[in-house]
Amino acid sequence: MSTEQKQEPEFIQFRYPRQVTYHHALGYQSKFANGLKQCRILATKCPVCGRCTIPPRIVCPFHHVKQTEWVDQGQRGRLISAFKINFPMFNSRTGELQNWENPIIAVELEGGARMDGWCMETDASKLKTGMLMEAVWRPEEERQGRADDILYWKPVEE
Amino acid sequence: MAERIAIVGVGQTHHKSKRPDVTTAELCAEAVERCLEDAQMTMKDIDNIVMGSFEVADGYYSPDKWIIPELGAVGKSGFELQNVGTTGGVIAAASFNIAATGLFDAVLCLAWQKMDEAAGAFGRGGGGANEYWTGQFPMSPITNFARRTYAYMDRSGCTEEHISMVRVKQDQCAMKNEYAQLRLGLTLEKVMNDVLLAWPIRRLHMCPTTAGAAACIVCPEEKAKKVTKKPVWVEDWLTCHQGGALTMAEDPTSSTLRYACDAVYKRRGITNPKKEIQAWEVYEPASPAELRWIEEVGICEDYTAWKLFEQNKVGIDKEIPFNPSGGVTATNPIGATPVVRLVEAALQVRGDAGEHQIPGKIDRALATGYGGQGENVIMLLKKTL
Amino acid sequence: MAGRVGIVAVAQTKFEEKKLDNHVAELMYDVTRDVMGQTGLEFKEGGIDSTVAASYDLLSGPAGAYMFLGYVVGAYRREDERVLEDGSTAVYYGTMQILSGHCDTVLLVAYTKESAMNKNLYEWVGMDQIYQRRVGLDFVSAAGLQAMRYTTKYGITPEQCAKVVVKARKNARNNPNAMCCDSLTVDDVLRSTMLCDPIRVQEAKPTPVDGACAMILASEERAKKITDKPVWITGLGTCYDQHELGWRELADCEALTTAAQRAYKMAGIKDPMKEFDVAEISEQYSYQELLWSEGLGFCSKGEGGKLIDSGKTDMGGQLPINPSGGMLSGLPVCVSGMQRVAECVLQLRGEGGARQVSGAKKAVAHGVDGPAGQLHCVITLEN
Repeated sequence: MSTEQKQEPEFIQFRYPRQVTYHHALGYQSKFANGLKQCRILATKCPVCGRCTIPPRIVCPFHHVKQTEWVDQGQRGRLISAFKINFPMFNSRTGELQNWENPIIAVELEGGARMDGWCMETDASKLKTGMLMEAVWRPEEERQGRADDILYWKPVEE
Repeated sequence: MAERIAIVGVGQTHHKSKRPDVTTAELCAEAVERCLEDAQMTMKDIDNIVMGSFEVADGYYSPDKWIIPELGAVGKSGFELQNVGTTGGVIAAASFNIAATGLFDAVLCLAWQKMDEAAGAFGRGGGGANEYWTGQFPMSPITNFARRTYAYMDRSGCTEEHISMVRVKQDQCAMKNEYAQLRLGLTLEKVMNDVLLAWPIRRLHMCPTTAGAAACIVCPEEKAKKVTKKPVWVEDWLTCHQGGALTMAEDPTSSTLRYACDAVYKRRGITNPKKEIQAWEVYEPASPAELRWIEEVGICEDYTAWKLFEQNKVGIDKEIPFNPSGGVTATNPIGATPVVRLVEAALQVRGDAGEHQIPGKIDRALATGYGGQGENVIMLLKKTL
Repeated sequence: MAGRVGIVAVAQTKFEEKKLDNHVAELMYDVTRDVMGQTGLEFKEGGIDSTVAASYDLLSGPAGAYMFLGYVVGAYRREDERVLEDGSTAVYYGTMQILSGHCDTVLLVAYTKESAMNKNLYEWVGMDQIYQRRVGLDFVSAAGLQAMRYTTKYGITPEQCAKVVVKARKNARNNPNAMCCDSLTVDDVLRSTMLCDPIRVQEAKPTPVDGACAMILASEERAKKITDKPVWITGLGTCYDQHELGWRELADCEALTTAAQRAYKMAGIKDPMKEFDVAEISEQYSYQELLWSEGLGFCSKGEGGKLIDSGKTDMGGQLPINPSGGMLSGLPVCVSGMQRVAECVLQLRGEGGARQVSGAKKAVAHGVDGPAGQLHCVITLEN
């Protein structure tokens, strides 16, 4: 019969998972979300400096003037920068670690607004600043007015 | 009544990646006890406490409530602040403001972070984001600095090797700082061959996750002179945020550091920062950031800082004593880091930084906090009024 | 010398159960623009020097939510800080920024959308994670424990607690911003479902409530130039109590008594019941109005029940408490503390409309945070 005493750990840690559901109201950003459903990229524009912003902002941060004008930014833009993630990182929608095959790019749209997006071209060395990119949308039945209604951007032959 | 104020005591924990031996409250108590001992004061002498951390990253909501009793501070005035990366900076600024009113004898400034307690909290919401828009991307400081560095390298001609030189120098400093977390004895080869996270950022280029706390005590002039023979005067402070004005897509180089430093220099009549400030503890979340911050604080021309590393001019006892403590790539308890920078800067002014003390007379030190897409808090310390 | 600190403008949204048509940035924008319009101050040199906000990230959603909303309240390249406490603490800190000589004018904004998340869930997270959270304690049960202890120790009756709700809803009818102004009787309250013994559903603050509040503080010299009706902040005090409920005598609110004494000392108030003309306090549960009245020195310990029976705290009484209807008529947490101060300002400026306490000269505002009132903040004002 064993007479060994069970060794208690000196320091105890415990896991405490909790799930939280948030209900967010888009408010004025609903116009942007509805635009996405129609395959349109709408940005707010500052009446003073003319800067278009995505995501839409209620005021221009520099002039603190309410931005009520919405401008369609078109479907194409020029590549500003690109980076690829080589290491597993958390997916904030699922909370899981995963690999990321597609580079994230920043494009400057025809209307002047700059936005992030996924890139269809997985070889980052083929991406050059100034390349013309075009938005590729989800099929209509999948579009929900969410930011990822734009599936990715693909390079366009000029 | 606007009073001149000084830091009369500092304290920090030995920063580690995990501290399974303490609760968050005990971690804070450790830092506070060391700080009180340094100031030769007791909790009875403190009459206001300004505290905080990036609490959501640790998985908390209003942790000040259960930390206060652990400090023996029940019955005191105080409150909590937070603003992600600059949290420690706004806490320090708040403690300066409160001390400068002259209504309190001693204000305790405390910041902490226990990152071993929340798994991947950064993953939620993309590390701080417009909840609707950027949640689809795995954005974090890693991706932000990948963009920044790419833009910097593009404009400056700096290479991957130069960025890794910065990391080696940071580690050499950290090796002389008993409180730093990562003290690795790095070589250039080791850094350049480390795991690639997002080009050109390698794992060693980024700050670690840390469990640590830091505290300091701030007193108005008369009290400060009574408490200690070596008060560190707080000459000026400035919070300079962005509030989401620019995303990384809109401007990957956005930063308020130059703007904030210029404002503080102008107020204090500093025209040659390289000469008039002798110690720098500037929050750099990634090695390449140090290159840009050296330029933005006014030490050298834009896009030339990488040459200083090539010429081996940056180090504890070199021409440019930048982050002699090893900086943030060695230790990053997010919410506490700006206060760690403040504590290190104060130690330099006092001549108490031990092995990583910058030689010579340190009359002025600059400490900063950094957050988000280039937000900054500037804290300027002085030895003589 | 900064002199006194004055409040020169206040604004608040209408408080509603769920502002589903509005993003939180719109609430912030509306109140910010309102106070800026009232004063003519802009976000530039000589205008608003600094912003102090109050909100909770966990309630908002993303980690670092405020960092991306700061631009709405003028954070771009400017001083901007955020207090993680009830809005009254933002007023406390904003005042300190001016008294320190660092700023001349400060914009304060508090915003909360309780509809974003289950309030009980994030309050549960607010308990310490080792002992109290594990047994399922949250702020509601903490309040229940306090209510039980308080009413038992001092013989406070359920009717006395119910009267607080009846009074609150009645007062709220005079307040166009209030959410709930239904006519309740004591019986209505006592017949409502038990929420957490002895607190009934009608005795708890309605939730969810969405809204925002803003104000601008200025140094004495600037305040006199900006408006001809500045309201002066004469005293400030905050105090922390123990966190573990078992360590506290829940029937007494020592932290509030201390906070109030700190504020009264600064303001030179010796007899609060006589010297104040109006009080706007934060009562999330009915018993709290009685208990906080004791802590604020309106009556002796244990006499809170007798105070409400006496009618002295009704409209038209010696010291009306919560002419606006208070939290029991629907206010979001975090915003509530700042909104209490805003209501006092309106009273002292004579802009209280139907809820005006005539000739009000001195007021006291109170905010609270933490379980069963762990952190209290008291602010005294005069015109």
